[in-house]
Amino acid sequence: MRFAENPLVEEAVTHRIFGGPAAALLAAHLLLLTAVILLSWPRPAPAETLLLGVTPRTYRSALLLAFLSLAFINAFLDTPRLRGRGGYSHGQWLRLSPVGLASFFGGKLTAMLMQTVLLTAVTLPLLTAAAAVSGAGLTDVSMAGAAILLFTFTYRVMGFSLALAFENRPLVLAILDTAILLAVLFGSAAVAPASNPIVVLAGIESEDTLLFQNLLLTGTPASRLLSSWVLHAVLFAVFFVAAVLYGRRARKTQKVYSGAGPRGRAGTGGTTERHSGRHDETSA
Amino acid sequence: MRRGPVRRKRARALLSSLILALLPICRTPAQSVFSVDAALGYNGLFRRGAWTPLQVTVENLGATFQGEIRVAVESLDQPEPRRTIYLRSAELPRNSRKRYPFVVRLDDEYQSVSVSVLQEAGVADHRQVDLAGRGLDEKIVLGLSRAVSLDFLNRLTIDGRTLKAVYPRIDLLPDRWYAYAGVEAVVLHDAPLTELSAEQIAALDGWVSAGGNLVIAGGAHLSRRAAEALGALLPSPVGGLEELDGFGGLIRRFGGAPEEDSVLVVSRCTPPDDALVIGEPDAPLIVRRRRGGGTVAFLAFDFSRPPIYGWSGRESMWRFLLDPPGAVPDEAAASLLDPSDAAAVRSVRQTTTFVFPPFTAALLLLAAYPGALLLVWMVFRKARYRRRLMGCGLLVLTAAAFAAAAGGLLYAPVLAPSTLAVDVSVVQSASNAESSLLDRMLWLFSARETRQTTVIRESKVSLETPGAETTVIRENGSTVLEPVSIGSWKDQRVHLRAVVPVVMEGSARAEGPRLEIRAANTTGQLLRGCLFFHRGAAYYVGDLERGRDLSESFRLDRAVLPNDLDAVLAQTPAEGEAAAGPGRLQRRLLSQVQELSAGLGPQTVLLTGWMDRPIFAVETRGASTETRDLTLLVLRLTAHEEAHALR
Repeated sequence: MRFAENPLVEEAVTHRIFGGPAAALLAAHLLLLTAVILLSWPRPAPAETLLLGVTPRTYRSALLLAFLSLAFINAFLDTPRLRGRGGYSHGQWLRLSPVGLASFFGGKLTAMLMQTVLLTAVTLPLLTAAAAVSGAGLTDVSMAGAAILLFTFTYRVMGFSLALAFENRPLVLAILDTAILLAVLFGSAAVAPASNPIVVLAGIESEDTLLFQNLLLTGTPASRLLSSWVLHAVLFAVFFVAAVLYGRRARKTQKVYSGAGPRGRAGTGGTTERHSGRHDETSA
Repeated sequence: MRRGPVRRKRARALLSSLILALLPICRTPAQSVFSVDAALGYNGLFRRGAWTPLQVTVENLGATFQGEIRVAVESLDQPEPRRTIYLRSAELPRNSRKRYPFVVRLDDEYQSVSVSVLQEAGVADHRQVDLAGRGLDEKIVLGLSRAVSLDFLNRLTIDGRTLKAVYPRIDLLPDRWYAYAGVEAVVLHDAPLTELSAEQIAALDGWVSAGGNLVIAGGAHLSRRAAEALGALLPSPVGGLEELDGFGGLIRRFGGAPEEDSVLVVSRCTPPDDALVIGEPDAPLIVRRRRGGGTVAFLAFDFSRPPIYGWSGRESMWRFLLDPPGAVPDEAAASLLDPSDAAAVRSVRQTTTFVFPPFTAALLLLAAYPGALLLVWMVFRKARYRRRLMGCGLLVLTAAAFAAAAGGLLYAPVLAPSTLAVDVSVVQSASNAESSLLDRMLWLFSARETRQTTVIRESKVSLETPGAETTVIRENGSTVLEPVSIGSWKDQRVHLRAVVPVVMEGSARAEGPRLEIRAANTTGQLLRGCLFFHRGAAYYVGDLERGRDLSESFRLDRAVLPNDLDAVLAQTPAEGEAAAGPGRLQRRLLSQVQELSAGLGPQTVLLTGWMDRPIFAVETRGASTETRDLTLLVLRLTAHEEAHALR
């Protein structure tokens, strides 16, 4: 497992996933989702609800809450405050470490993907339970899971890209993160409604054409998802390319290699020595 | 003696009397003695593509009249104008006025509707009914109210179509149930209900039984006499009035903020066990109950007065009231030319109940899940890097295990093969034989797109058209019906339905204790085990060979075990696949047809029969044991009082 030897993956597993604010956020996310599902559990019982012809809102509420929650968690996970104490900042990795750019971005992408997959995976059992009692099929849940994974991974990359550039200005970073995320989540409904992730996610199982208007829900759920994925693929590409360009620039402006940063073979995909939180106090 | 002047006088007198005698004869053709007035639809409005009441009032100022009233509906915008004529015999004494109710089908405003009074000598009087600007695409809500209390509904939209509140005069309400076919709902509110005739109430009842949606408002204006007039239509007995402090039950169900110090005057009612009740157990506010294929909702309060009038959850409540379960999509109703067929579809699509695990089981599962994740996290929290990596994998595996458990627990009732059910009804009436297959299939597709109809997962649906001369869309040897599947109970709520070109004609007439039925099997197929259903009773006919005319008379009191279809089905000949006996699903379908028949009026007879070759074959989840040919014909045979002919 070569990816496991990447120092950034190691750092993510050691400091981000299993500890720090990310774990607390995950716990809060799950508890909130569980509470919403239990509160919106169909009453009377699902079978009676079926006979009454009322579609329970449990799944839709849970799906939208899970998506919004994961979107914000992913977008903000790379901000200094949520990154936790352990590990190095992006600036330290880029300017002070001998880790090559390809290794840096490869490792970072792998670590981010792992964390997003984990966040999405732990959400799925709750969504499955909500879907079953709301009359949504397993295909709906699978599609929703895939959509959430791809959408939120895009937001993660966006958050990372912004954190790379504005790491030392947390207020600007928070404002930018929020603004862009709000623009994508809600602003896109006005510009490109068919690609809006919330509309598309709600439309996977929605029969409520009133809520989203007919024009937004034309085509099959899969085709609607595809149009939204295109928007997110563009966003992903833009932010990732921006991050790479910023990384290259940062590397070029690197003045001094003090040797105080994380150690590793420059330009390779892995490190020969494992580092630990001993370097916590290292400053950029 | 001069005789000339005398002769001239006599000649003048003779001429004068002759002129006087001839005067009335000369006057008659110039001035009609009839006055014809026609009140169309509901306050002059009608729903396009639906049966519509037409009240013709004829005043006879001349001698006693005996003849016919004719209503002719002509389509003007088609290459070959189609004309439907409705005839009723009429008898009017001298100086009398009488109202003749008709129910006509109007497709659009580009039709000509004329009312004529016919007598032996020809047309005595004639009147053209103006349709311009009267056709509606909106869902019509009939409000029987002294006040304009339902205008706020015009802002609401249900299923993408706006509502239109119309306030018809109570005496102009139809006395035929199918005249309400174009009506979404009827709201009885503050109207002189005691003025409703028994026929009008029976028509309302028949319409509700066939799938209509009736809302009755209580409160101070609902007198005991009015409640008694409604009789069995009321979903629960209504008592006196009482005052409630607030209406928390409604707010909890429909949201909205209550007004301060809101006192609600409600009619006390005791809902039956099978009713849906909203409100407190000791003070029900809304009681909704199924009646046949439709629903009746009783509002214990007056919705046009404060505090309900200003309540912000009012629209939500009306959406609930006007969008009852099991309503057939409008497209379906529009695609079927006969309202009773729509009712057949509506009723047949009732579905089974799935037994879900209790809430506590789901609660335990949902509570155990974060606990399991926490356990994994605790174990690997302080482990070395490699073990933490494994911990990540274990977290994902835990999530997958719980997803499988949740799916297994909650989807099992839906996905178990024993509960998989697809009801397919093939509906064809004598009157809609001329409609093209293409149109009907297009309806099916469009309905699928809106997800109103069918999603039968992991199943193959194929359609063959026996002996059809109509165009059939085929793709790679099968129709363009795509494989669809069932994945959840919501998908099973609505069933696949289609109309295939099985052309059958027939009529039925009840005379005293006998029921005479004539039917011609023009399907090109042998129909096995045919059954007639009339008012819930089954009459066994046996096989109906292709091209054979059936003319049989049944004693109404000699139904074959009306409540035991199994015995009837046992008489199906044991030969061939179809004769192997209908399966569980077919039995259920037949019992639903029986239920439907019980809810329909005496004028409707349903015919079911099994085709040797299946029209629909449904394979569920690849299990060959579940492969069934769900072939059922529902034929409506009718004998309306009006002569209804296509010319």
